[in-house]
Amino acid sequence: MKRERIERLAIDCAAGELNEDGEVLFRMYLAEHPEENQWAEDMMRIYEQTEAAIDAKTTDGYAGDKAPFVKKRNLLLQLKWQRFGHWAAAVIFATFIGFTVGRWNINSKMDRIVSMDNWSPKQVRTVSDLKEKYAGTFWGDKMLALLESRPVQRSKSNFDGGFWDKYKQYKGEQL
Amino acid sequence: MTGAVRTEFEQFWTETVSKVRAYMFCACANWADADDLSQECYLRALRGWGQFDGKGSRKAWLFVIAHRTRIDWFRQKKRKKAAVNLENINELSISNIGSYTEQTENVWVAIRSLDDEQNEVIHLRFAAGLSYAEIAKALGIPVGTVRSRLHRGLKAVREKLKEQKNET
Repeated sequence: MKRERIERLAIDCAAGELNEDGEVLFRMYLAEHPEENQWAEDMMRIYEQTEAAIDAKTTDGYAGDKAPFVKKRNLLLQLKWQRFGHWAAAVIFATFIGFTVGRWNINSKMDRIVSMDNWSPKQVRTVSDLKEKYAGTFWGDKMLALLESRPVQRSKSNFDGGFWDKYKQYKGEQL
Repeated sequence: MTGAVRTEFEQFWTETVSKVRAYMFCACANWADADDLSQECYLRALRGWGQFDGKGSRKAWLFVIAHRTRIDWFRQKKRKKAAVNLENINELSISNIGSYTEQTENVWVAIRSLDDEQNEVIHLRFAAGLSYAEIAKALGIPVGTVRSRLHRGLKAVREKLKEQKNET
C-alpha cells in the first residue's frame, strides 16, 4: 500500500474510527510489513503527541470547576435580563417615535398657522358685480331681482368671551 | 423556561463545558476569552434549545454553535490565530508547568501554525473530542473531507516538528 494510505488508516485507527474488523485486518497487515508498520507508528505517535499537547494545554489551564458554574447562574440571569432589556428597548423606542411624530405634527400645524400671514380673503362678489355680467338677459334680470329682494344675512359672532375665544384671540395677536 | 428544560440544560452544561472551553481556548489561547466565548456559545444554545431537530447528537449540535461563535469572535476581533501573542503562550506555559514539556510546547506551536481548516478539524477532534461524523456535522462538510484535513494537518505538524528539530 502507498504510504499516504497507510498513514490515513493509522490516523483512523488511533482515532478509533475503524470498525473492529478493519482494525484487526490493518494490524495484521502491519505485522507482516515492517516498513509500513514504521510509517503507521510514526503517524500514530504524531497523533498521540498532538492529543497530549492539546490535552495538556487545555486541561492544565483549567481555572477550576467553580468558574463555569458561577457563569452558568449568571447566564440564566443574563438571559432573563436580556428579555427584559428587549421589552424596555421596545417601550423606549415606541415613546421616542411617539414624541417625534407628535412634535412633527405640531410643527407642521404651526407652519400652517404661520402661512396664514400670506393669506388673503376670497373676494366676495356683490349683486352689483353680477349685474355687469348678467343684466340685459331675461333670466339674468330675474336672478338679479331675486337677489336684490333678499335681505343680507350676517353671521352672528360666536365670541362669548370664554376661555377658548380668549386663547384664539391671544394666538391671533401672537401671530 | 420550564424546570425540566432547566435541569436538562444544566446537566448538558456539566457534561460538555470542559470540552467547549478547551475548544475555545484553542482558538484564543487565553482562558478569559475562552470563558467569554463559552458563555456566548451556551447562551446561543439556550436560546435555540427548543430548535434542536433531534438529528445527530446534542453535542454535535452544540459544536455547530461553538464553531459559529468562534467564527464570529474572529470576525469581531479581526484577529488571526497566527498572530497570537507569543508572550501569552509563554505565560501559559509557566502556569502549566506541572505536565508541561518542551515537546508539548513544540507541538502546540506547530498546531497553531496550521491553516484554519486543518486547525478547526484538529481542535474539534482533540479538544472537543468529537467523532469524524460529528465534526462533519459541525463544519457542514463530508466525513471524507474531515478525514483528509486531519491527515494533512497531522502531516503538517510532523513536518513542523522536524523543522524545529533541525533548527536546534
